[in-house]
Amino acid sequence: MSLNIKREVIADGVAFSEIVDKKIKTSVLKIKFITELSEKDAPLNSMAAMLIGSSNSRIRSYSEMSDKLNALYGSSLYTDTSKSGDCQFISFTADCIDNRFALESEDILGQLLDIAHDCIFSPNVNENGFDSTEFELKRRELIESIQAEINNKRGYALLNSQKHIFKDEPCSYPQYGTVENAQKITPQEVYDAFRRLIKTAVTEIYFVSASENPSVKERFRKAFSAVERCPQTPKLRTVSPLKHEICYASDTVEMKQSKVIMAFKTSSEDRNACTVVSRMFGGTTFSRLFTNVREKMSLCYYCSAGYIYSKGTMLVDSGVEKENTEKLTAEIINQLNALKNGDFTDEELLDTKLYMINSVKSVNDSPNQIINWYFSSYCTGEMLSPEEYTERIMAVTREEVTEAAKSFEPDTVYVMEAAEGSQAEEEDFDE
Amino acid sequence: MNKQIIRNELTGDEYTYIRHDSGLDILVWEMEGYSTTEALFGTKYGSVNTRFKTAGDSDFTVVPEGIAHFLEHKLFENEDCDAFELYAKTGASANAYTSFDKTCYLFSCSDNYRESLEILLGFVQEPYFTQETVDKEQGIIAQEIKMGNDNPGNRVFYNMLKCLYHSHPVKTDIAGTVESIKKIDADLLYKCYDTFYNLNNMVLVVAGNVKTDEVLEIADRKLRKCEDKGLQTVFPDEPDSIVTDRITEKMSVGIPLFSIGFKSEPKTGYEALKTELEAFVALSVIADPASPLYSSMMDEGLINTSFATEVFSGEGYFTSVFGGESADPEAVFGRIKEEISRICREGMDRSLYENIKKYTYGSSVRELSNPESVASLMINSYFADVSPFDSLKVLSEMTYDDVMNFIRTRLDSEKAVLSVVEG
Repeated sequence: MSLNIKREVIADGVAFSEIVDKKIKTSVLKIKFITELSEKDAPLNSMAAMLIGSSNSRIRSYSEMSDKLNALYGSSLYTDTSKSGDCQFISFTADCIDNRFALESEDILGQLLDIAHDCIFSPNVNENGFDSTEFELKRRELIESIQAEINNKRGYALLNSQKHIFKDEPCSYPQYGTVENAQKITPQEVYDAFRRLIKTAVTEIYFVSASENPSVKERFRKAFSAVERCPQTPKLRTVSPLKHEICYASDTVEMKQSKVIMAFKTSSEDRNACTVVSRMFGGTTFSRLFTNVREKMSLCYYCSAGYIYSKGTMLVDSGVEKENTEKLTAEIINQLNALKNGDFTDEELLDTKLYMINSVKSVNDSPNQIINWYFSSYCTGEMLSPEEYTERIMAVTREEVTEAAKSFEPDTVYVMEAAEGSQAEEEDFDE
Repeated sequence: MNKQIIRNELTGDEYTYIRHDSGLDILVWEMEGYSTTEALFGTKYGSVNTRFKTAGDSDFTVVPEGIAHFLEHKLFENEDCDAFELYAKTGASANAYTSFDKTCYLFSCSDNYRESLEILLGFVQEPYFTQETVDKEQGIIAQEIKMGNDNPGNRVFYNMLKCLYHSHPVKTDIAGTVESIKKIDADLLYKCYDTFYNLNNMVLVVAGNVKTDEVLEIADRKLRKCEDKGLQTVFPDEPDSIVTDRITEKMSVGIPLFSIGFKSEPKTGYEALKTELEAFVALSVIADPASPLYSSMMDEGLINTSFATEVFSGEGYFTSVFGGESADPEAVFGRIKEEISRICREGMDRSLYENIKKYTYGSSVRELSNPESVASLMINSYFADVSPFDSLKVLSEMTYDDVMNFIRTRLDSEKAVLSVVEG
C-alpha cells in the first residue's frame, strides 16, 4: 500500500516531508542535518547533538526533561550522529503516542512539539555557549562513549577496520574524536559548531502522524525564516579508491573469538546490481556465506556481507576461531569468485530478489521505517517509493549481477586477533 | 474447535483465540492497513527446562545445559533441505530464538504468508537429527557461545544470576557451554523434541496482514493431532537466600560494567504480571533519569546514560536489576541501597510516581503499534498465562501503596548482589 509523501522546500536547503497514515499509533518528528565529515567538527557536532537532546532554554536539565517526557506518556526525544560515506548525519527525533490514547485529553503531540522546537531553536545556552553544567555531564558521556567502544567487540573491529579500509578519507575519522580532544573542547566551541550546523547543514525534516497537521510545517518554516541560511551541499557519495596492493592489517585484543573484516571495492555505478550481489553473497540466510561458511564448514556463527553505496565498498564481517582465519578468508574469496564466474542459479537470484523486496514492502508499517526509507532514498539522489524500488530490483538481470560481482576487488583484510586472558574471580559457591 | 474474540475497549483492538482440535492454541490479530504478517510458532521450552518427565515416564530425565537452544538450531534442517531454502521461495524473513522459558520459530513477510505459514507449521513438526548433523552444529554453536562470552554485558548479567541463584537453571547461559553441548546427541534431541514439541505445550500467534479463516484452513491441513502426555517440568529447590553478594570478572573493557540484582519470591500468572508492573514502576521511581538518585549520581560522575533498570522474571525466579557502566560500581551499589531505605522511610514523590505510571501506560500502548510487537506481546502473554490486554488493566488498578509495598518487601539489601566486569 503506497503512502502519500508531501515534500516541500521550506527554507534554503531545508525540506519538510509530511506523511499521514491513519493506522499508526505513534507520531514521529525527525530532523536530519547533513554535513561534511570533518575531523575537527565531527566530535563538536556529536557533543552538540547530545546537548540539544537533553535540555533547552525552558527545561534546563536532563532530569527535568525526563520528568516532562514521562508525563507525556513516555514520549521520547533523542539525538544521534552517524557516518555515511564522507558525510556526518546529525539526527534529532521526537516521538509520542497519538493524542487519542491520552487518558486526560492532553495534547501530547502539541506539548512535545513545543519542547522539540525549543531544543533546536532555543537551546540551553548563555553568553559562554552551552550551559556549563549540562556541558560537563555530556563531556564525560562523550569520553566514556569513546572508552566503551572496545566493550562491543564486533563494533570495535568494524570501527578499527575503517581506519585501514578508508585510510586518508574523511570516512575514517572517528565521530567522537579522541579522549584528549574531548578534554579540551569548550561550551562556546560546541555552540558555535551547532550554529554552523543550523546555518549551513542541508536539512531534511520528516513528520509522520495519524492525521493532517499543517501547523507543524508552518512552524518550522517560520523558525527557519529567522535563521540566516547559507547551505553547503555535501557530496553524499565518494567512491573509495582501490588500493594498489591489498592491505593486511591486524590488532590483538583480549577476547575468545577473532574478528575478520574484508573490504571489496567497486567503481560500478549499478547500485541495484551491486546490492543484489552483496545480498546473494552474504545478506540472507540462504546466501553463499551463510550456506557455505556457516552451515557447511561450521566456521562461524555470523559471516555476512553488506554494500555501502556511498563508498562503493562491500564489507564482510565475521567472527571465527583464531586458527581458522586463513581458511575463512580463502572461502570468502572462493564464494565471491563463484559469483564473478556466473556460478549461480536463476533460482538463487530470484530468491534473493524476493527476499529484498519483501522487507521493502513492509516499510509503511512503522513511522521510523517510513522515514528511514525516504531518507535513504534522498541520499542516493533518487526519491523512489518502495513500489518503484521493487520494480528496479526485479529488473536486475543475471548478466548485470555477474558484471557487478566482477567489479568488486579485494582491498583490505583486517583481523582483530583473539588473545585469551579473561576469567571470573569466582566466590565460594555452595553448588 | 473453540473460537473466541477478545476485545479491548480502551484501544479498540481485538484478536481471536482458537482452541484447535489438534491440541494447539492459536491467536490471530488482524491489523487493518498493515502490509506485514508476523507469525510465531512457540513451545514452552527454554533453557531452564533441564529436568522433566511425562505421565508415561517413571523417572525424571536430566539433560545437558543448552539443549533447548541446540534443538532450535537443528530443527531448521530436515532430511532433504533446510527451512531457509523453503522460505527463500516465499521471500519471507525467517528466524528463531530460545530464551530462558520458551523457543519460538518466526517469519515476517509482506507477500505469500499462507505459503510461509505452511512451511513454518511443516518443519517444526518434522524433526530430523543424525549424529553427523549434530556434530556439524557443535562448531557453529561453539562460535555463538564464544561470541557471547566476549560480550561483557552478557557476562556481567550471567555472573549476577550465578550469585543470586543456588540451583535454579536460570543461572546458566541459554546456549550452555562449549563443554555441555558436547554431551548432546541425536537421541537426546529426539527425547526433548517428543516431550516439549507436543502441540498441547505450544502456541501459534499471527498478527498483521492476515485472515483468521485462512490461518485455520492451513492449521486444519498441517497440524497433526497430539495427545496430551502430561508433561511435568521440575526445578531443584531454590532457597530464598543469595549465594554470595559480590563477583568480579576481568575482561578487556574500557569502562567497568555492573549488574545489581535483588532477588525476591517468584509469582505466576496474573499475579506475576501485577508484580512485574509494580516492579517496573518502582525501579523507575528509584532510578529513572527523572529521579533524584539518577540526577545526583550523574552529577557526581558515578553513572552515565547507560544506567537502566530491568525486571527479570519467569518460572521460579524474580529479580529486580539495576545495570550500567561506572568507574565505581561499589559506590553505585551503596547509593541504590540507601535510596531504597530512604523511600521506605519517606515514601515516593507523588508527582514522579504519577508520571512514571503514565510513561508505563504509554509503553503498553506502543506495544500494540505494529505486527512485530503485537505478535511478540501475544506469545509472551500466552506463555505467562495472561491476556495481552492485562497490562492496561493492571496499570489502571495499580495504587501508590501497591508500589510502596513492592519496594518495602522485595528490594531487600540482604538479597542484593553486585556483579562487575572490569579491565
